[in-house]
Amino acid sequence: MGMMEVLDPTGHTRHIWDASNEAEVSAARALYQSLTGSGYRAFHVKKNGDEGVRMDEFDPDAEKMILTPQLRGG
Amino acid sequence: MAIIYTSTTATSGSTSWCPSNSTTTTGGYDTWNTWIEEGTTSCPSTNSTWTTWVTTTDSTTAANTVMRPVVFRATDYEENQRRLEENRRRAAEAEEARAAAEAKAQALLREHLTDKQRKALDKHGWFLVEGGKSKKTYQISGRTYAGNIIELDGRRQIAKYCVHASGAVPLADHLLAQLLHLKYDEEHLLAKANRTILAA
Repeated sequence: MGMMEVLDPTGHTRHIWDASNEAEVSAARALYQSLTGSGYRAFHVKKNGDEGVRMDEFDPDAEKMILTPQLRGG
Repeated sequence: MAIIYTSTTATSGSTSWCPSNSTTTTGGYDTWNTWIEEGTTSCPSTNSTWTTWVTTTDSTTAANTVMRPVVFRATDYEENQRRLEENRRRAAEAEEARAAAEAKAQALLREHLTDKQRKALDKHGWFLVEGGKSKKTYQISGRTYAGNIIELDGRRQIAKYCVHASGAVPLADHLLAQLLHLKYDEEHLLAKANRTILAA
């Protein structure tokens, strides 16, 4: 089961998909590409502050992703 | 120059208002003189003056332009009360949604902090992060959106960075975005941030 947490005004929205379900993977990929195309940055993370990595490509097998809005200088 | 009117009681007992021989020194008719003069060229009785003042429809008269009464309608009051209540209800709902979003974001942030970072946030209101590439130490303050990242060298503050997540995300989501970028995309954050040097 893949999971994508998208940070937004509601405190984040969780999207999950079954990696063996082609339709769900396709929908998750489309969402990922839409968000990253509009400036979101994606990170593949694990709980409890364990190691993670910034993602350049959608990975349907990623245990958990967090997508953050783009950063702006203050 | 305004005419001064005085009341005169006739032998019949009725009271009239007539111009006196004296005049005021201020220019133009004052409201009182206009009021009692309105609608007649003769000396009006107190009764007819009052009736004229109340019933006149001439919009240029003092009664209509200066002293026009505001008609109070119960429906206005009820409508205002309804709108006030609606605004209060919407404000309460917005505050409830904001608090729920902040709580949800806090939970996600804490899920991605180490035990040491969680304790520091609870105790000091900030936590430390090691830059993924530079291995520098950054202190992220959990109390504000702006200028809340401090680069440290031991205990010495080297620089302050001002960078924030775009969009109206809760503060805890903003902190999580900063944390993830410092750990896994440090160069991108530094390139976006405004940097203020604190110590040479």
